[in-house]
Amino acid sequence: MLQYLLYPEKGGLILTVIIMEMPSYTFAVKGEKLLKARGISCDLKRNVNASPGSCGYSLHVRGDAKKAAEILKMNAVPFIIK
Amino acid sequence: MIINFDNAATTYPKPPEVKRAVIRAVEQYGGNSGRGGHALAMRTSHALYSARTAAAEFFGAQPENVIFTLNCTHALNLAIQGLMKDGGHLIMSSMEHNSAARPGAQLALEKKISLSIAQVCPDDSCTVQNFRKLIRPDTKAIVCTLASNVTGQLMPWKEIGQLCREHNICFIADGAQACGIVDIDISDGINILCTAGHKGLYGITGTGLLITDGKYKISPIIQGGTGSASLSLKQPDILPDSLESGTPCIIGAMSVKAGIGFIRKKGIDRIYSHEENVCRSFIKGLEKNRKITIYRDPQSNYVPIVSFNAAEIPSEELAEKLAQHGYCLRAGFHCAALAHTQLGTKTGTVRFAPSAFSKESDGVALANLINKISNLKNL
Repeated sequence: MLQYLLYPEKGGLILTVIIMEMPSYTFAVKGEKLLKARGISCDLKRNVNASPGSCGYSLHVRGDAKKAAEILKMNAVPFIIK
Repeated sequence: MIINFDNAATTYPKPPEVKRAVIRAVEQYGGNSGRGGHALAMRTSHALYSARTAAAEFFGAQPENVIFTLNCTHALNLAIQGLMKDGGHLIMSSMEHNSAARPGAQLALEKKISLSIAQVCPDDSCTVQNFRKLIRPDTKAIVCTLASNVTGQLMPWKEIGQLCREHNICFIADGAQACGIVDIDISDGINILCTAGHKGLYGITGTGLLITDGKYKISPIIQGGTGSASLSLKQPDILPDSLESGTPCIIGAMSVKAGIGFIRKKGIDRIYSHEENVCRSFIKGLEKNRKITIYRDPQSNYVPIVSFNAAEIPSEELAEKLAQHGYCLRAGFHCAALAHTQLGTKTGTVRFAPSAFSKESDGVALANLINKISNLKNL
């Protein structure tokens, strides 16, 4: 799920939150700690509409989603961008 | 009066921080981990993750590769049965506890695997050579205790790990008597470390750990709820969920975390030195008594455990006499059929196993009492 806010002064839509669904609670916390340690703002939350294969928890990442994904991949933390 | 020298079975007393962690867990971590988004579930889940991380850092592993189990036996069963599910050849040492020997023997009796026993020698290179000689093309795993629960003999586990690496064999290590006393990092050649949480790690009973480097797939032997992929009837593949079905012992995990904190604070080397000093004083108190047999060999290294017998007094009878004076020691065969067969003990041995809380003076007083009892016996 991608959430957008309108920032007309910057010329359009700016991505603010990306939701990464996690396969297990353990990987969710591990991912959260990895991202926070590298200055990426994120929150671990329970999903209201979780995908069947997930653990029901997701990381709500604010900011550079591409960098966040790279960090998780580099540390073998699986995730699905919803 | 209780003077506990049965710490190889489970440590007692527990450190004050462990007691406090248990109380805190009962009071605050009353939710279920990884199951639900409410405040109680979330703080319990975070607490369990912190225990997982503490164990991972202590043994040089990744948090997701730390599996909480009921005890070391549970961990060894998961490892042996899970790894040998599709057959193959398994080698184990002649000093294994029944927790490793029985699952291996059962699989062999059912003709699902072939099993070989490598004789442990007082000399480490001889032990490694005996393992090497048994390796076959279909050898899948070596199971070896890091230290015997009967004599305390330390095994050449780094060399065995190296041997396994050379032959692409999984090394399953039983760390029940070594963890918390000997510095162990799984990167030293261990693929799967199984240990108790309630012995040298000072957690409460009902706790154990399986820690893997993730190289070898362990098929689950128990399936069930994991909090993940709930709509699927298939057990998740991902660790720790695949091996951790059902609600874990959260209170126990928090006690293990506190126990690890206690060891770190005190220093693993200091704990070992203290316990070994207690053992040396105990042995010194007995060494002039010719009726005493101590199961230690000068060629071998030991964790702080001393197995002994007093002349012809059956081990259980001697332990009973010591118990009358408040001393707690385990006698008999210590759930180690292979080890006692190798040692050739007729009635088992009496096992002296101090902890970080044991006093040297108590070891000396116990030795004096054993001398008195053995000298009174009309032989």
